[in-house]
Amino acid sequence: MHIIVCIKQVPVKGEVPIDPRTGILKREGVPGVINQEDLCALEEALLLKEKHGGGVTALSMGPPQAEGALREALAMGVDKAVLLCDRAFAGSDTLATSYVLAQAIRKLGWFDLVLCGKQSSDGNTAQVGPELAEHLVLPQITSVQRLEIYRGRVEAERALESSLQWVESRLPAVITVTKHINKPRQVSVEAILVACREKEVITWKADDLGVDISRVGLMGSSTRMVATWLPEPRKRMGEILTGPTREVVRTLLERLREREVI
Amino acid sequence: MQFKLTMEQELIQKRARDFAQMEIEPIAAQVDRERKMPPDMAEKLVKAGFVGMLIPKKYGGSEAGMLSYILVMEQLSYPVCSCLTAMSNNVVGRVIAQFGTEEQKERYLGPLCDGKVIGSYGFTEPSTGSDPKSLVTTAHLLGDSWIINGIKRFHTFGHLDGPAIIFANVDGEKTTAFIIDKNVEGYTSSRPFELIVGGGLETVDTRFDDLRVPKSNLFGELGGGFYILLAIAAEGRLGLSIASVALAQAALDESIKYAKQRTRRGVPIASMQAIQWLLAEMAFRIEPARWSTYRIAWLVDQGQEVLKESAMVKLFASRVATEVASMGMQVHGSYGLTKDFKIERIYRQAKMFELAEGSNEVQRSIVAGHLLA
Repeated sequence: MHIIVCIKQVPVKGEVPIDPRTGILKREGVPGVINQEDLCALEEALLLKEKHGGGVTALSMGPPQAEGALREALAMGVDKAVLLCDRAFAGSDTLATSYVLAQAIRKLGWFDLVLCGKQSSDGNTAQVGPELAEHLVLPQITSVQRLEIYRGRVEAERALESSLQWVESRLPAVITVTKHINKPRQVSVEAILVACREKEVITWKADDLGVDISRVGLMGSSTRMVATWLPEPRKRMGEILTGPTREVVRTLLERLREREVI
Repeated sequence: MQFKLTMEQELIQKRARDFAQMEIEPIAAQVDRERKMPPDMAEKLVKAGFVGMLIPKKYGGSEAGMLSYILVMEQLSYPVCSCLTAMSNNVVGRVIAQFGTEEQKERYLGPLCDGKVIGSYGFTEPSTGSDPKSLVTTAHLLGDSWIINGIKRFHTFGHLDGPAIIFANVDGEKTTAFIIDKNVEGYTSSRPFELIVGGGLETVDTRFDDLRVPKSNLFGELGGGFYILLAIAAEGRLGLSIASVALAQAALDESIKYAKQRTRRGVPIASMQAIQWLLAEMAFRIEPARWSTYRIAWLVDQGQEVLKESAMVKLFASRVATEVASMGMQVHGSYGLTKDFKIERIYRQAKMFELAEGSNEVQRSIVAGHLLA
């Protein structure tokens, strides 16, 4: 089976400077790592490859430095790495990004499964995976923490807010995974050397993908970042109950019931 | 001039940072306290590919290069934990690859890369210190074997199985290197010295009593030992320099953390100019030490000899480590004396760097010798 994994390079520790002019996160020049849930998507793809055979392609849209994320993916064991890099893509929102990714996936040809991390640690929208499925007109399963592949179909365990849900779908499909699905492998120095010295990262520009240029970049984005700011830390209000024990216990129970804790 | 790591170097650095955070930081205080190294650490270091980085691929290494090795050592040294025994195989292996015969490379490099043995080198003697011209250890040829007699002091990892490069006097004047197998008949070692640096780093006295080694274990040329010593020491000094930088960085990071948390009259002490100046003093020392070490590692990768440069940077970086650690203690105040804070461990370990791999006085002599040559 052939699996395509979409990955995103995000700033270390989620410390992203914000461009005061555009209100957009400034990613260039900030040391980057593969988004944690995307790492899990890569790991899951590699585990599936080990079990079922086939190949894994890593795909990333980003500035030239995102090549580092793809080199790391190669070190982990993916077979092919493609960087979607063009000035025209700069400032893309999730809709424009998923459109570019979908175009690249079409260009890659036949595949069984597209895996993505559920959301990125910088943007935190969790939109790219579902939008990608819509562009590709494929079924989607989001927030997956366990998955099994059978002939032509997939079964996945979704983590909802207060319950688990088992979902079945035909393949090909788009699946987004959470960080609970696995523990990504650690690469060795040798694997990094091979990935950087002997393997290739293919770069595709807007022209290579045949994208409608009006649908990408800042101008092609349907959403605008009006302002970005760090919220003030929420102040927690404490309450100290005093008085006779019986009364304190009664008040405590009332408070807990009011907040629907019990 | 590009002050920028390559993508390959950045990825290797990141891998080492992750390893240090996951595998070393959680056990660092315990290793220091209990003086016991985790038995699987060598295996983990090997699996991550950190052992063998300076050894040619042909013999099982990865040829990652000196700068990449230095980047790894910096990250692994940051938790300030002496659990990097197997990393010494890098320097010993590189020297064997440089000066050894084909037979010696075939025999020793593979096991060094696998971490199954621990390489070491012994030069210092009880009565001669670091002076290469007055070695008391002797070697003489008897048939097909060299017979070696003498004692080596502060022979780090001299008690662990594996190859050791040792230096002996032949014919009363020729400083000559030999590659020997440790813990064989005629080779004994003392119990490790108790050091103020805490657990993990083990250094011993080793004694050779009519130690018989095959003729083919001559390492380099007869009388060529001094040059080999210089080469080993130069590369050993780089590792020590970057460990100094990492320790200093740890001292600074701990101090910043403490200064932001600790309050005085309701205000964090980080808002006080006296503390701010200390932090700035720490930071501006670390930066040049780091980049100088990177540069010299890069020179090694360009095939240049760095005998003088490595002595200078070791002298500088090790002083930075002790100065910065001391400033870190000032930031922590009396709490720095307690075992509750990491700065205590940093402060104890810092001094080692001014004394190991040739004291800083020896480094000054090496630098001056080059300046006046």
